[in-house]
Amino acid sequence: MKLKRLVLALAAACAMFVQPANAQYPNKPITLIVPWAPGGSTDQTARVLAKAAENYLGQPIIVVNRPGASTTIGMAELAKAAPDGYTIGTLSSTGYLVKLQGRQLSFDPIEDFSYISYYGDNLIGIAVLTDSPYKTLKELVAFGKANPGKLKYGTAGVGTTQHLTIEALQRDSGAKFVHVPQQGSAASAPALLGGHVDFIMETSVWAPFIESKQMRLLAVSATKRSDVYPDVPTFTELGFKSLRSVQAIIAPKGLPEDIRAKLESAFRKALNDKAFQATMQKLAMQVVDLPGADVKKLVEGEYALAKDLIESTKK
Amino acid sequence: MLNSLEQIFYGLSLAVLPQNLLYAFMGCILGTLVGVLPGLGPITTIAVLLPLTFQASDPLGAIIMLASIYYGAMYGGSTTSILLRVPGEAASVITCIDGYEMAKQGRAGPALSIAAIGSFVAGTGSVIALSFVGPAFAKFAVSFGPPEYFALAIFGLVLSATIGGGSPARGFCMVLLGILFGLVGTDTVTGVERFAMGVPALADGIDLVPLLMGLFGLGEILYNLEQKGELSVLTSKIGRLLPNREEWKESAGAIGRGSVLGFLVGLIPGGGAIIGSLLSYTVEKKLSKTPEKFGHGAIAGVAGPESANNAAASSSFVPLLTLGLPGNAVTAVLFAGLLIQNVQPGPLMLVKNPDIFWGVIASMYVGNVMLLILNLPLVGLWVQLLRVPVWILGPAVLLVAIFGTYSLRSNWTDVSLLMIAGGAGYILRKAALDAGPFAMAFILANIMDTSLRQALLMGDGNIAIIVSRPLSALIIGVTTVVVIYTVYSYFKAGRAKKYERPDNS
Repeated sequence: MKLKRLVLALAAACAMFVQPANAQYPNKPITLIVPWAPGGSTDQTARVLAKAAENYLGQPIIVVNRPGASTTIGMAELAKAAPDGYTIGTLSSTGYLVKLQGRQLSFDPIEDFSYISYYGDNLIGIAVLTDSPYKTLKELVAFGKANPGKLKYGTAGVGTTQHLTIEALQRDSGAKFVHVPQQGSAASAPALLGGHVDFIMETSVWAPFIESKQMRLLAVSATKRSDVYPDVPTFTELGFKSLRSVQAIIAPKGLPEDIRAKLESAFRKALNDKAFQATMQKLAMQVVDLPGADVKKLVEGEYALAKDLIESTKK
Repeated sequence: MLNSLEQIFYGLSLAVLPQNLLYAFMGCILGTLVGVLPGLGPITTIAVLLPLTFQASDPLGAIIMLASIYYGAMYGGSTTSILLRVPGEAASVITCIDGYEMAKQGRAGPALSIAAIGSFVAGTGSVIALSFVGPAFAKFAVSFGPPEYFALAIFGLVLSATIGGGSPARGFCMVLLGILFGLVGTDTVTGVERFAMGVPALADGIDLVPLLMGLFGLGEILYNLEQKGELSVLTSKIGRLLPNREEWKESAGAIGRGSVLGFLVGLIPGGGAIIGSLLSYTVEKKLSKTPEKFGHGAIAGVAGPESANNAAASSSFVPLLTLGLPGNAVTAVLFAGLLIQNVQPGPLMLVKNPDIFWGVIASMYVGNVMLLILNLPLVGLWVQLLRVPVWILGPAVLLVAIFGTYSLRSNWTDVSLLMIAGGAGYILRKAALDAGPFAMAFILANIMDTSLRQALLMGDGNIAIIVSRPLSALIIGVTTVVVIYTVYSYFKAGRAKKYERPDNS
C-alpha cells in the first residue's frame, strides 16, 4: 500500500516536469542572473526592476550575482541554462564588447540569447576639471587636433563603451588623445581630480563633482539630453557618434515565444514603477523602453560599430 | 579645531542613540565573527546584508552597522592567523608569520591580546585623526597617481623578500614566483589575457582570498595532520593570556608606527589594509635590534601589522566620505550602501548629510571600545581552541574555508583554486619556503605592472616621470637607500655567518 502511494507520488512529481512549461507559466520562482557584483549600478537597477516585474508575473524573481571576467561568467551560465523562462539575466554592453578584445568565449554573446526587453542606458559623459581651459567639446577637440597626443584621458578600461566612444571621436574629428586606461570606473575620478589625466570619459562617477563644481561636463553620450543635466549637449547633437551603454533583459536562446512575450510585457510594464525610476535617476541612468525584437537589432548595430572602430584603431 | 569638536559631539549625540548603539553592536559582533571564520570576510558579509538595508527606515543605523562590520572584521581576522596560521581575513596574512610562531611557543594569549589592544589604539587614533584632519588629507589621497603607486609597489617588493625567517635568497625566489602568479589575468592597458589559459574565472586574475587561505591555512593543516600526534600547536602549553613587561615594551613602538603607517596607506585609493600591514611588518623588522627574531615569534611582528590594518580600515573612510572614492572592495560596497540610502558620498556630503558623516565617524569611537571589550575576554576562549585535536579542527576549518570561498562569487573555480593553493602551501611548508614573500609579491605585482605602464603613457614613454615627481622620487629614494643598506650590511656581517636553514618543525 505504502509502495503504491510512493509510486503515485513519484508519478505525480514526474508529471510536473513533463507538463509543458508554458501552460501555466510562471508557476515557480524565476532566477535573474546579474553578471556583476552586488551593489553596482546594474545590480541596483535590476533588483528594483525585478521587484516591480514580480507584480505582473505573480511569481518572485530571485536575483543572483555571478560576477567576474567582464560579465562572461554569468553570461556563460545563462547561455547554458534551459530556455524555459525560469532563468533570465541582464545584458550589458561589456558582454559583447569583450569578444572584440579577442577573448575566447564558450558562447556567442549575441546569437545564444533571446531578447526580452530593454530598460535603459548608462549616462556616459566627458568631464574635465573646472579650472581646465576647455569649456566645450569643440575646444577640446580643436586642441587635440592642433596638439596631437598632448592630452591624456582616462576611462574604465580598454575596449569599454567609454574608450570606444572616444576612439570614434578621434577618428571622426582628426584629434589625437592618449588613452590611459584605469582599473574600473571608480578609479577614473581620482585620476582626473589628481590631475593625472586631462579628461575622463565615464559613467556617472563625475556626478558628485559636477555638483560641487570641481568638474565640468562637456558632453554626454545618450540618445537625448539628460533631465539632470539639461544644459549639456549630446555627442549626436555635436555631430559625433557614440556607443550606447546597454542595459537589457535577456534569456537563453530558444525561449518559446509565448513565454518571451509574457516576460516582455511584465518587464516593460515595470519600467513605469516609481522606485525603479527613482533608482535610475539616482545613478544618472536613462529609462529606455524597446520591444525585445528591436533590442537584438540595436545590439547587433552596436557590435558592428564597435568592431569597425577597433579595426580602424589597429591601422 | 573647536568647530571639529562641536561636530564630533554632534555625531556622538547621534551615535549613542539606543538604536544606533544596537546597530553598532550587531555590526561589531558580526564583523568579529566573519573576521574569525576563515574565508568569510567583510566584503561578502556587507554585500549580502546590502539588500536588507533597502528596507531600513534609518539610513544612519544601516551605515553604522555596515561600517562596524568592516572594522570589526579587522579585530577578528587575527585570531585564526595566530592560532592556526589560517588568515581569517586577507589583511591578517602577515600576522600568520609571527603570530603562529608565538602560539607554537605557548604565547598565543599575549599574541591575541596585543592584536586586540593594538587594533584598539590604532582604530581609535585613526578615527581621531580622521575627525580632525580627514578632509585635509583627501588632497593627499588623489595626489597619488600611477608614478607614486609604481614607486610604492617597488618599495613593497624590495621589502617583501625579507619577510619571514628564511634566507633572503629563498625569499627572493618566492618574490619572483609571486610576481609571476600576480600577473595572471587581463592586462589593464591592452585588454589582453595573460596566463589565463582560457579559464574565464582567471580572466580577472587569481582571487586573493582562496590563494591566501590555501597557501597558509590549508597547507598548514595538511602539514600538521601528517605529524601524527606530535602536533606542533597542540603540544604547546597555553600559558599566559596577557603580554608581560618585555612584550609590552617591544610592542608599544610597533603599535604607534603601525597606526601612523596604516593611517597613511589607508588614505590612498587602492592602498588598503593589507599593504599597510606589510609595510608595518617590514619597517618593524628593519628597526628592530633583534631582526633575527622576526619569523620566529616576534611580538612586534604581530602588534605592528595588526595596528596598521585597523588604522587603514578606518582611514579608508576619508576618501570614501569626503571624495566619494571607494579605495578598496569593502568601501566600494559601502559606497553602494550609502547610495541605496539616498546619500551621495562625495565633496558635498558634509554639507548635505552632516548627520550621516559625523554619526558614522562618531560611531567608530564607540565601536572600537565595544570591540576591545568584546575581544579581550574572548582571548581566553579562543586559546582553548588549541586543545581541540587537529584531526577535528583541521577538517572543520577546511569546511568553513570551502564555504567561505564559494560565498565570494558562487564560483567553483575559486574552490578548486583553494585546493590547489592548499597543496602548494603544503609543499612549500615541507620545503621550508616562506609563503609570506610570495603573497606580498602576488599582491604588489599587479599594482606595479599597471601603474608603470599608466605612468609611461602619462609621460609619453619617458621613464623620467617616476623620478621627476616629488612624492614618487622620495619613495624611490628611500627604496634605494634600503637596498644599499641591506646589501652593505649583508657583506659587512660577513658571509661567514650563513643563514641557517629554518627548522622544519
